[in-house]
Amino acid sequence: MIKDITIGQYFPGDSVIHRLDPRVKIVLAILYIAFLFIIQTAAAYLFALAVTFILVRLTKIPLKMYLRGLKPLLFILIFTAFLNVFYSTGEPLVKFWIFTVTSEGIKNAIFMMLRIFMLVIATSMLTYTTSPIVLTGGLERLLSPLAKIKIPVHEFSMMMTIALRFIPTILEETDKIMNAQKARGADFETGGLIKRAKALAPILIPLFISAFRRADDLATAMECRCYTGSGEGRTHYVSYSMSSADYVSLLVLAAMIAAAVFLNFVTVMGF
Amino acid sequence: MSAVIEFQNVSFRYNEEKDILKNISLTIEKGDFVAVLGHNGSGKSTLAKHINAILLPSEGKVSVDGLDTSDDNNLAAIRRKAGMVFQNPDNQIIATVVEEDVAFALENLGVPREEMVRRVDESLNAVGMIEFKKHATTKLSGGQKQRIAIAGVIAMRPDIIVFDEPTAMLDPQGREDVVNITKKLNEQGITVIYITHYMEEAAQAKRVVVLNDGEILIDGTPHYVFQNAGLLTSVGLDVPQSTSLMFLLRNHGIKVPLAVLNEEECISVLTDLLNTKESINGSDFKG
Ligand SMILES: Nc1ncnc2c1ncn2[C@@H]1O[C@H](COP(=O)(O)OP(=O)(O)O)[C@@H](O)[C@H]1O
Ligand SMILES: [Mg+2]
Repeated sequence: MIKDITIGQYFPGDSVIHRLDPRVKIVLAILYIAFLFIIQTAAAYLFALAVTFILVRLTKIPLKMYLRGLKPLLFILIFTAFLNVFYSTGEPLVKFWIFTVTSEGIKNAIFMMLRIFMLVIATSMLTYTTSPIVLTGGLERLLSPLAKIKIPVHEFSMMMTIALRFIPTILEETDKIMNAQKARGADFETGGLIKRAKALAPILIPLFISAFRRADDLATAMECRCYTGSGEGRTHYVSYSMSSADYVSLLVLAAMIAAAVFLNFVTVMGF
Repeated sequence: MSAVIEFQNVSFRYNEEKDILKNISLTIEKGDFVAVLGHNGSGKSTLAKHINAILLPSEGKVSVDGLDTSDDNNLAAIRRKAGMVFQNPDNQIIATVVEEDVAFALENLGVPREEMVRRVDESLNAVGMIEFKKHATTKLSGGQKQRIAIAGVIAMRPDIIVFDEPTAMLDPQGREDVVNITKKLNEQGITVIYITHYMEEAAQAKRVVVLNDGEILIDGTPHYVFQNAGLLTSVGLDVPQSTSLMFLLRNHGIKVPLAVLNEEECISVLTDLLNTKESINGSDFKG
């Protein structure tokens, strides 16, 4: 039922990747994406592909799960590939009607597809191996310096935390209300769009009323536990400490980026 | 004993239409266990929210441990001294993991991490939930969630805990657990204000205050309060079943004490009664 929706798509586990510090993981994901945009040669793409597969294996989450994340992007993937194949400038291979296929085009198309493919895997890996709450916590710590320039980092993080806490509760409630309405003869499964939308009103209205009550209760409960709304002077129960695995992975990625930049430089200079 | 909570001529209104609390004066002693009774809408929750400055009196003054609740500078101190547990277990749990929820108040108070870790364990032990430390809060039963909420309050090391119908949404087992924990906390010296609509729970308090329409209707020991069964029923409250039985017997002209609060007392009174049949002077009594 509706309860089966998994938000954030976290797969609990105990792999090396799972155990990395969330702050490091966020930084790594960003650096890896940067790396994917820097590389230009076939050899580099092959190397990146190998790294990606090794990382996937390390998470102990089946590749199938990662590929699922690509499905909604299939259209964009094919479309960009199509554009690249036919509209790149370069030595024409085949020519028919208004289309010209160039070897550059084919190369660009493959590179672009690989890049999106690895991009999706990298970001999926971050959410698959980090629980949403830890991810939020990590993000708050990473961005905490921004609080100095009046960016409400703590407030956003608290909003995320509460949203994540209440999603299961509200989904459960939706299920209950739907069942209650079904027991009274409501029909959500048949009829046209308008009829179905109308059938939703008796679910949404009680759901909204209850959500506002919950919000009110929760705000009071938080105040009662000395919450003042600002992150100032707060301490954190969950502490993150960087292990050697964290430092090593950061170093490896930094080295990869440096190598990629160096190789680009070498190519540009025409050696 | 010394006063720890003082209401001095407190009136409160949410809007100009109606006074929800009407000139209430109430003193609560340190270490007391005060049950608050009253029908729905009589102002119990409103009264409770005055104790930790969630609401401020429209007129009059509330002080907690000598601190005036309407003084902003006292806010943090008062909220730490007087914790509060609410009716709906789902709406007062903030974190997704048990230990993180218990630590919430401590994070807000800026307690150092080592101290937090110690207090979280201590509080979870106090409510018998230590083995659930790493569990997801949404997966717990109502009674367990309520115990986590209590642990979150205990972690602040409060002097006072206000319970606002903490058992109203629980099954009998959950109710029993929560009631036992409140009694244990009171034995350890915490002042307990316990709002309930279960007479049996109120009967276990040291003092019972009955609210009706924003006014204190009657205030005293459970024995004293439940003696006035007529008054209580007249404002729509049920007295405990055993007290009710005594009340009915009295109406039939049988001389029994009214202040009978639990089954054991009731049984002993009834056995005495049957052993000394002379005391039965009503002609319509048929055994
Ligand atoms: N936020 C509010 N705004 C306006 N009126 C309120 C609010 N909360 C409670 N009331 C009213 O105050 C009265 C007392 O409510 P409450 O203290 O919750 O009673 P109890 O807890 O005894 O059931 C009720 O008539 C209720 O409608
Ligand atoms: Mg109430």
